[in-house]
Amino acid sequence: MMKRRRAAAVMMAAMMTAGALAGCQSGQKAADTGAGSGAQSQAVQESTEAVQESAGAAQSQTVQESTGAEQSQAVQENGEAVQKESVELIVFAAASMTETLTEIAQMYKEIRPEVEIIYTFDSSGTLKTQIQEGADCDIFISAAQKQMNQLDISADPSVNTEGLDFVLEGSRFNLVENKVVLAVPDNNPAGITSYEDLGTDKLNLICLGNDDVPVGAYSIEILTTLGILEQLENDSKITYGSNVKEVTTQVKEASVDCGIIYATDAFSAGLTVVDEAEEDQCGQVIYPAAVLNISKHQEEARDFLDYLTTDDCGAVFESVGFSIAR
Amino acid sequence: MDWYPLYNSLRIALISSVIVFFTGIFAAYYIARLNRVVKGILDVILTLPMVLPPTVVGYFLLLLLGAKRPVGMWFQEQFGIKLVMTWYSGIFAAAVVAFPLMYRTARGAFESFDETLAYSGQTLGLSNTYIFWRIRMPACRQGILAGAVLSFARALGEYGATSMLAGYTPGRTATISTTVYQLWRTDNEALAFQWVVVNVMISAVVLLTVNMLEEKNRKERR
Amino acid sequence: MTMSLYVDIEKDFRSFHLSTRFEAGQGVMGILGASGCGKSMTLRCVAGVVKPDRGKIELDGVTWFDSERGIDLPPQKRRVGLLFQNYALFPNMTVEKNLMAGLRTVEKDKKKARAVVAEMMERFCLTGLERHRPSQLSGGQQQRAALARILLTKPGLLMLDEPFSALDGYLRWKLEMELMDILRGFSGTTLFVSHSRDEIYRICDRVCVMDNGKSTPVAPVKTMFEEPKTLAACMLSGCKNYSGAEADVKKNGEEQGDGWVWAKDWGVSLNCRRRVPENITHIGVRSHYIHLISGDLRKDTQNVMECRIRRIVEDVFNMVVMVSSVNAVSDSSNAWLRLEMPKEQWEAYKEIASGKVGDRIRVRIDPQDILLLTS
Repeated sequence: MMKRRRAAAVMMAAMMTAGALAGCQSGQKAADTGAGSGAQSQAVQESTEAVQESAGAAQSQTVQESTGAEQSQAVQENGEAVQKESVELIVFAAASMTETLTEIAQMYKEIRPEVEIIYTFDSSGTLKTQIQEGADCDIFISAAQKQMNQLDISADPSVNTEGLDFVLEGSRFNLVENKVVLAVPDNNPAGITSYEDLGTDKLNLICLGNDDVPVGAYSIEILTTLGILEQLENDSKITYGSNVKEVTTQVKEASVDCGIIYATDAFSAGLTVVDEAEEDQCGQVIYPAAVLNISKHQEEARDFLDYLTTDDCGAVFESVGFSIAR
Repeated sequence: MDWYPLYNSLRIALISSVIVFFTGIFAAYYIARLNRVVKGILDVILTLPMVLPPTVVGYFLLLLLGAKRPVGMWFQEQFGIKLVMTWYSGIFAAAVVAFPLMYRTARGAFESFDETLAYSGQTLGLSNTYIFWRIRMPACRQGILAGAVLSFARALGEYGATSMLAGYTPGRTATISTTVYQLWRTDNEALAFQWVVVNVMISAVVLLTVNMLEEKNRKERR
Repeated sequence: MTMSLYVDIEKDFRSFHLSTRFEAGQGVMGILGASGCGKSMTLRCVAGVVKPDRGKIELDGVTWFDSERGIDLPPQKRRVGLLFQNYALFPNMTVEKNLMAGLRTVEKDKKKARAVVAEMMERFCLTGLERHRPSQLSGGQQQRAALARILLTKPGLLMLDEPFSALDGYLRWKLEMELMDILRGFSGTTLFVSHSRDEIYRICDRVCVMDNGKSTPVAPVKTMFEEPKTLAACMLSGCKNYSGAEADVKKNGEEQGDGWVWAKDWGVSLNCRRRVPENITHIGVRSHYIHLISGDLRKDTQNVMECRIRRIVEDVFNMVVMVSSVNAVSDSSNAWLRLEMPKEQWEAYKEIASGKVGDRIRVRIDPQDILLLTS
């Protein structure tokens, strides 16, 4: 009797551990590739200057100028890697950048092996709140200007209502641009072909991000422009996901008829895109990036952001559907 | 205020509780009679949903009932019914996590039942069904009642598995717990707090009812 | 046709093996055994609430259980009355409802049932307690109510599982008298289970002894007490003096022939004046049959033992004197002999000899009082 009880207890403990491990999703680490091979490469980084104007009713207008062109050169000797003190960079990034940034971290490990990138991918709204609540973070890459503005003291006070000051002056710039698309599950069971179709009876259930999720805000804008948002709400045809990856999963699992997500997410998940939103429907989807002034490794952070603007990274971004914001 | 989440939560909790009441009691009754090995294994399996994190339970359920998964697809083909993203998906989630509570409480109650009462009934010619409902259950009613209340409370407060199976569709699948979460996310604190108050009031009513019933029970026994 | 119960069953448990075999006719048959020997389990198997592994149970030619033919009649159909130690009255029902429970299947008319119950309650002096809960009744009332409930179902077999173990003193005696009256009025077979040899002696006609799951053949009560055949039966019958023993065919180098036993624990050879079977393992002597020797011996006195007084205990009406044989192999108290005599007899002895712990004392045993036992 005792033996059976003990075995059951052990099994239960094992189950709980497995559950805990499965449940812990946040905090992804970039995989380490063998740095001991003595790879040599030369990285030259150039400064970038970006001026952006965003249009659209729901977007606030900001003019950004990055000052202080930075140039840094890292040269490595043949067969001898310069040993630097190991540094951890914590990067909070929008969920839609998961695949691309993960790949880039692996690439960065080869040129700067002493820098370890630790990611947290989630909806920009959640990340902004976490930063605000005191989370340790070096770099923030948001899926919309709104969340970055809410942390930037130099932004419009009507957006940064709490007067938060987390953005390191001069480090903010626009990284990539995405498109907001309508995606359907395999075989398109509901036969949705366009945004307009959402106003018809063809649609039973659509998944959107909630309005604290950037893609959710865009979705609501699109539907408002089309004049069908209120009708969908009244008919209870909208189900909300907590971030864009959740919306993507719902579509992929065919739990819903369709969903509004980013082009990059549709690509990564292999989903069919049936319609794309135009600029006049929801404005441009710009992803700003910045170093946070609470960062303890500002130089390494700037170096990483500079790396993101290189052609190598550009290729990675474009391969999943981003376009480079210049 | 849109009262749908209240209506939906109560509906799901009540239906789940009824399902779990009968399945839990019958499982407890029949499994107690099996041999030790089988009984031990079944015990672990049936108690798992209580120990696993609700999201893990939700994940398993999705693997079964999702629209592209075996059971989900079969239902879609045979009856045209979707098992996820509907209001009744919440019932699957709530019933699975609440079941172990009813099962274990009922097991405990049955095991402390004086079996000679059942034997006595049998030798007097009473049918086993009569003995179960009129002698065993009344004798165990304290434990059974406690189990029923616990499982109702658990079903009412279910969040993790429910949000994965039913999603959050206002007016359709929203429950009090998923509504509060989404209201908080979208900075709707005032409304979120109103729901918190509603939930506390319901829980208080449930607990008061339970206490009253236990008092009545205690008086009757003396 | 005479009522008769035939039981031959076996059931395996983790700690012991039940193997019971007996036949009971009309009247009261007792099952005597120590706690945990399997007597309650036997009753439950006969009632059908527990299933034996193998065997056969029959009452009046109706087969209730036959493992070879795959027959297992459910208890509801066997019409047994089983009275548990705790009476098993349903706590959530009134006394009246309890008694009516048994009539559910035989008497559908509620009015008639109530009348029958009322009559029974009067017979058992329970009138006025109809609305009471079992917990509100006294021990005696509970037992009467439980018996009434059973008898209302008109069982063919009545089984009582240690009905008095929860009571003591005067109440126990009173209830025993009442029960005997009831049993006299019952025309079927009754099985009475107890660990008290006195109860069995008083209440039962025949007895079957159970020891560690095994039953001995049924014998009339008097026979079991006067001539127990096994060590277990002898112990249960209340005998307190034992010694390991074997047939003694050699004594002082001469052939002795039948009639002598060598008592190993006492270190002495004793004459039984009857044939000693080869297979005996123990002997027993009742305390009353170990006699004090005071004064001189006659030359032909048999079975004299030299002993030393070890302990003197004053009981309510008797003196108990524990002695040990001087030839005893071990000094353990298991080998001591226990004498019991009226106080006056001991006083008389002390006037002639010294009766203190440690003093020498001589005892004798009549040959026919030596019980030859196997284990």
